[in-house]
Amino acid sequence: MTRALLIIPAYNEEANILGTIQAIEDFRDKVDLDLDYIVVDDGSSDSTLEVCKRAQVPVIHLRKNLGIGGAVQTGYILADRQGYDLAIQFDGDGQHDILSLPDLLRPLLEGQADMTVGSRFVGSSSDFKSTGPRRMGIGILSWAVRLASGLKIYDVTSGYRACKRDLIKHFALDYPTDYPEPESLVTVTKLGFRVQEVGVRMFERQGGQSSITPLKSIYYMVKVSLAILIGGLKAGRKGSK
Amino acid sequence: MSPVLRIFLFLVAIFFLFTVIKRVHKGLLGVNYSLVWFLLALVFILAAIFPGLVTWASSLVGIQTPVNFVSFVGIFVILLINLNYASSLSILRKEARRWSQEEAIEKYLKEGEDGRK
Repeated sequence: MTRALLIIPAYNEEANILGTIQAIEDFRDKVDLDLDYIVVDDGSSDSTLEVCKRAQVPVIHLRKNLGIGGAVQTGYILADRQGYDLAIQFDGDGQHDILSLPDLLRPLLEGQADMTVGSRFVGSSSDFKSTGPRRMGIGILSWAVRLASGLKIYDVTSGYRACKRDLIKHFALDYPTDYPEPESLVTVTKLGFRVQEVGVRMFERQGGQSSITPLKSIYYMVKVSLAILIGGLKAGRKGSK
Repeated sequence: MSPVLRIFLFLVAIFFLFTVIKRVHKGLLGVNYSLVWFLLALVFILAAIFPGLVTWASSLVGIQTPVNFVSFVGIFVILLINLNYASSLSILRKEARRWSQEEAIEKYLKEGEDGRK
């Protein structure tokens, strides 16, 4: 049976993490997949770790906050070490809908893609489509990714993504730290892997606080776009895997 | 170049050389890094002893005063050194991140084993 690992990065998610886990547990039995999950506590200053341990949720504790890139890479290292066939990045704040997982995995299982990115904006299945300014920002980043790699994907910032063995191995060795979501898409495309955008459902943020304030957004968008374009300069020939 | 300037350059270079050697001796500066600093000090000493060299080199590039040329070379070398530091730092950060991740995973796997016993 295909073994899949849900990598759940969590930073100060004491309020949401158990809800997220419960949704996964409820979903697990309904699907013909050997689905495991691991929470990666990215140096949370709240009681995320204790909450997980008390509920006997598998959790890796990073002493120091490494950021989403570092946290998710930890999950990939584990996935690689334990030989999982599929790895899925799944936010610990409950914004991702676990029920969309089969849609996300289908192109991978059918061999149409090496990596899938769950998008709020593709297909009509999405309810929560984010705010106007945010969408414009994502548009700019999407353009930057396209310029740097040729990949035509809209929701390049989505953390709801899945990949197969080859990429698990690659990410375990090398995963970008600064702006991982768009940067990784550029790297992966330039290496010759196929990335597909899939419509998924996402929810509004429930409890806790988002780490991106509206004020940072514009500065962030410009900075990230430049970083994406520079990142496109990094080594990587098409076809080499 | 005026004699005063030459003496000044020479003294600065000697003082710099002395500082670098002391640091290496105390183990506060790696040999690799010290090489560039030695080179820089050497350039200053040469400029002080052979001012003709500096005049010739600066006319080659088109810089008016030899002093400007020495300053320019000094600044350029410092830029290169800074680039080296930026590289070393980037690599070090990557390594530190890796250690942190590996330690966390080892701990998790061990706790899992202990739990199963």
